Amino acid sequence: MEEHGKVFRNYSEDGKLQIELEKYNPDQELYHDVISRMNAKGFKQIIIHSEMMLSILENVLLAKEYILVVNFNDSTDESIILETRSILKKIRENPLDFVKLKDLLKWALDNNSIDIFSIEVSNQKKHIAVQSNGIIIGTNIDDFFQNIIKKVLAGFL
Amino acid sequence: MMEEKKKEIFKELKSYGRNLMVLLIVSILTTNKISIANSLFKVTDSRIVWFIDVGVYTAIILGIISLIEYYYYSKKTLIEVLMYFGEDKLKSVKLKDEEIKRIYLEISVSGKRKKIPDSIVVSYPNWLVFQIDKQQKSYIQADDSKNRYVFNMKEMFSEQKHLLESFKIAIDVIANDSEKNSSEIKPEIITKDRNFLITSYKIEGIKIELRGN
Repeated sequence: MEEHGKVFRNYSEDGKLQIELEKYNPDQELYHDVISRMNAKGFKQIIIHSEMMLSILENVLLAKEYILVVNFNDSTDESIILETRSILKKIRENPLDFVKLKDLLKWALDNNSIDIFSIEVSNQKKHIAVQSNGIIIGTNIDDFFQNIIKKVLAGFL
Repeated sequence: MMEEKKKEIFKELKSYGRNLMVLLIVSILTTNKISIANSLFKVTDSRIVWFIDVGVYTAIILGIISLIEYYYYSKKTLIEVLMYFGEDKLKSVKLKDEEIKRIYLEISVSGKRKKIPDSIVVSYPNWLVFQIDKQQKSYIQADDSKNRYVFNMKEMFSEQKHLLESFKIAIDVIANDSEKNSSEIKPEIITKDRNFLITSYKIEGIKIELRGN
């Protein structure tokens, strides 16, 4: 069954970081209502920026899972989108080709010519999508959050 | 806008003060019996004497003031704290609902280490969220209960006695709600002794606007 969740953080007064996944039903609760509910508990939204996305992709491959799609924002150069698609096909055959994707996207990030809007990967053979606004959609998102997302975010925040 | 106007008026007042000081000193010197025109060029016509004396004294006094100013500013510690968006360093940024923008905080110090403030605080309103990659940097402290990040300047900058260093920190921004809103975010300097004579501060904030649905 497809689940929806959003990642939140809380830095306590002494600076201790807590990262949580808050699951919600989009048919019953609006995006902003989830944020308000978590704000009331002292939690703030987490932005999953492009550098974090790259790190999630790397961890997905290390967990022997697959990268399905990388979606960019509208302003992204068409040539980078096409090259990314081509490298993604190669990665499916040889995961070591991820280095090529990492180099390409890092170069583009340094030049402010891309922004990763979302990524789609596999987790235990099930589809998972991660969006830059911190929304995670897929099957068994708790497991994916605990094993990959939480560790990546904790390394950045 | 108000802040810029204040700065402009202060700059004008400073320039008037300088001119008034030069005028006063030149008046004192010209009313004295010592005359450069008389003793050096042996001019006797009182109008020409006055004209030459005023010109020469003004040039000398202006030169001395400039030298003093140069010495003073070269000894002064300069702290610049700027917030901006994009490569053109824009002073405002517009957000759409659920849109993420990256703004920057730039902290520069030129001068003596012992004159730098204790910390810089960046606070944000409830309708926004700021996110900084702390990556275990102990000089950045986050406190979500107060909506703020605190930068420990003493820990941030190197131990050199004389500093010429700059830090550029990326801040990702997203709105919490979809209502039209706007806030001016200005970094705050925290220091026990804020002495404007020995430390000069340039603090510029950024205006963040949410377009609303």
